[in-house]
Amino acid sequence: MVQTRTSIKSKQKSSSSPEKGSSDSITSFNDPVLEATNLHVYYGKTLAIRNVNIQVPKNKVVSLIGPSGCGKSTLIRCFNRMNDTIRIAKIDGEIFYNKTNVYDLDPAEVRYKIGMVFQKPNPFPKSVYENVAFGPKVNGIKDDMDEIVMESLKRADLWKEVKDRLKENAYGLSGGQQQRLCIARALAVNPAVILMDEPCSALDPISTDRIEDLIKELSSSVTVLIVTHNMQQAARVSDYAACMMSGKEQVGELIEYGEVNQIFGNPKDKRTEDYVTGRIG
Amino acid sequence: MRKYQGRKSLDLALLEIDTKITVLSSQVQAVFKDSMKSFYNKDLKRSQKIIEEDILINNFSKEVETQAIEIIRDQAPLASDMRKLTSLIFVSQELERIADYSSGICKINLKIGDEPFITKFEKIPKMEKIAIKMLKDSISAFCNASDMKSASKAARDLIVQDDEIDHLNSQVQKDLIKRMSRAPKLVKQGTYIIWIAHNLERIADRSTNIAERTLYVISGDSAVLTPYDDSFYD
Repeated sequence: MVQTRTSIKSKQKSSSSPEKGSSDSITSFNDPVLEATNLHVYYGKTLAIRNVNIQVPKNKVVSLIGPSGCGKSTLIRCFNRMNDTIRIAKIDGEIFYNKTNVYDLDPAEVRYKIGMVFQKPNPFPKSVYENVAFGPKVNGIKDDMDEIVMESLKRADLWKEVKDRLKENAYGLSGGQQQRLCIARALAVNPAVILMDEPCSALDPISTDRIEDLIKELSSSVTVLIVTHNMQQAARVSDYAACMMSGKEQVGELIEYGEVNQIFGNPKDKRTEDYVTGRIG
Repeated sequence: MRKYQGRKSLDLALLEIDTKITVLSSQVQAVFKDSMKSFYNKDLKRSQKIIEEDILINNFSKEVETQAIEIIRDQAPLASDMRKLTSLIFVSQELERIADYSSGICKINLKIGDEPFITKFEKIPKMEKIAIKMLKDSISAFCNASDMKSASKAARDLIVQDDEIDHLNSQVQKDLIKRMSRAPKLVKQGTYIIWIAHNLERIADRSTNIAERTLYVISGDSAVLTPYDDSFYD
């Protein structure tokens, strides 16, 4: 089936106006939804990322790029305290969600507000309906569950395809449908932020295109922080991009953060230029 | 620290297309010089041949353009690579247009034919010399954009030369219009010679466009070096 690509990007003016720092890169926003300050992450005695300072503006798409092993996944996992699940992981520095330190919040609450979608679709071995209803049920939400499931599936652009298959096992869906189901599952608890760790790397081009369209649609109401190795994808979907790189002793650092046109059109840092043009990686 | 690995197939493709644009520019320079030589010497046969062979330049320019598009398709370039490749497409078109102006000079030569020239050429050879230098310098800056400092200086130096050629063009036009208004029999050839000067001035403008593209490749800024000069109409 031929599908029309509707992913041509229309950039909207930033509602959260960036303030320029000393360099040309954007360093701060008026109302960041996520913020990391002086963040160091250790796995045991090994320093994985060093002194990361980053702010993520509300209802924007920010992509995190950089070579494998530079700490992108480690960084995004800090925002919803997923690194707490790794026994040897230790965090130094501060992480804020809407200006509140995430360690002053209940971890379950943090993960409802800051949802996550992974590289490989990971639906529960349950029905389509139960996958979406799981979060609200556990969270004790008493609203009309059918309504929540339908709305979440609609927001994830999956409703039309599964409305007659709600009772079927989610494993019967295609890879692209499973990934959109995972997004619907995250949306069901009404998050403010969705973290996406290479959400399209296991998908075919058409499924990828649908997820990209979805990301852009969601960004009117949800902030999206996405890790991707696909530069063109980052350029297509993001408003801002941050480039990380392993520096001294293979420790990940944030080397450049700016508007997407700058990062992919004319990066200021030579290392970013070499990475986005494919000359280091 | 990550090791710089280069990008072999893209780097080779860029080298190949850079070589092609250099060859195209050499051919265009040769055609331009030849067209002026055939004009001064009233070598109508040579002029006719240049007009006929213009298609070869057109085809080569299209070949460069197609190759740049294919590299963009296959290599998904970004940042400086993307700026270079998109600019290459524009530059090959500018070179093709310069060859068209040269061909235009030859067409004017055929129109004047064996009729003796009504003027001793003083300013037109000066314009030719400047136009050739601008074309050479602009393409050299474009092909050496990696040497940012000297390429940037060369591109900006072209502004001064462009002013000079604009001034000469204006003088040629004013002188000939003055003479033509006194002696109407000069009007036909006088108009043709004004067109020759116009073509030389346009060749210089196209070279300035190449310099603007060079600055874009270097800095990412779309610079406009010279606003359109309409002082002649004042």
